[in-house]
Amino acid sequence: MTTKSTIAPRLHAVLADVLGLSAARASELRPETGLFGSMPELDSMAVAGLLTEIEDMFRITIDDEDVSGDMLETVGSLTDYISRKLAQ
Amino acid sequence: MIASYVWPGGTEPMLWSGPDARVQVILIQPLFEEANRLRKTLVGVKRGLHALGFGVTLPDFPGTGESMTALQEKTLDDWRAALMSLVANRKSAQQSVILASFRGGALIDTCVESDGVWRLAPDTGARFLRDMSRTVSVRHNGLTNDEIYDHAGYPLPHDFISDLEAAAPELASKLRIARLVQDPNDADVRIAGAPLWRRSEPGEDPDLTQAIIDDISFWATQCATE
Repeated sequence: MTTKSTIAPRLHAVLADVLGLSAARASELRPETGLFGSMPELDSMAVAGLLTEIEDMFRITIDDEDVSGDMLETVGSLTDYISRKLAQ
Repeated sequence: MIASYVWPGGTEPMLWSGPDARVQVILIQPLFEEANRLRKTLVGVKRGLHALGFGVTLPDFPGTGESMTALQEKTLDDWRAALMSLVANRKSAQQSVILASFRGGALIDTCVESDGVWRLAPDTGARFLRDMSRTVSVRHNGLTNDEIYDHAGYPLPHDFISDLEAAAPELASKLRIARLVQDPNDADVRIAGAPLWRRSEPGEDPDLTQAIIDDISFWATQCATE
């Protein structure tokens, strides 16, 4: 069964891969860690790559209208979104 | 060395090392922005394969890279025609030709008969279009003030987009598919590394580059000796 606790480490790995985060920074990712607007690596081009990689890794489809500042606010909000999509 | 090749539509630039080698590997670049992100990896692969004794070509297709041709006037079939010219040139010199495609390069690598095809993380044209249009839609959603381009900065004509929408990698008789370890899709071999083609800031990974060199070398040798 896929739960947030199993999604989180996979999402952290995707974030590290796509944003080029060091192992030290990747290990510091927490649900409250800020993403869009907080993490300098996450610009608009990086968002597109990140979402596509998440689609591939979790085998979900992310609708364009779902992409918002709220969804990308924190690691936790993005984990919640993936969790909801996997449950559908 | 920096060289050029002729195809029916004109002359395009390429990097070519080892023109006299019996086994020639043609590296087919990813589409658009992904080619920029993998440029350093591709040049590293070219050097590494040449050091192993292969002839290696890294061509720019019409309208890409250093090409002086306007992309607005081109379609995927022009890239196929350019690749066919390159392969015909090598074959006429009695050389074995192996095509090594990276990502979207796999959309054109079966347009011509080769001695073997190697692919890294191939995907459908529709998926690439989705990624590119998403870049635009993310901007429309108010997440940036950057200027909006046609397709993530690439002014693609309608015909090119239709071609891409319908294009998918096709089977080849001697085909080996490599994917990253974390990629859930089917593969013949798994390579450890990060998907550098997804990074907005181009990165490099010497271990990934070496793993790619090793596997293309293995496959090219196997295909060329059969």
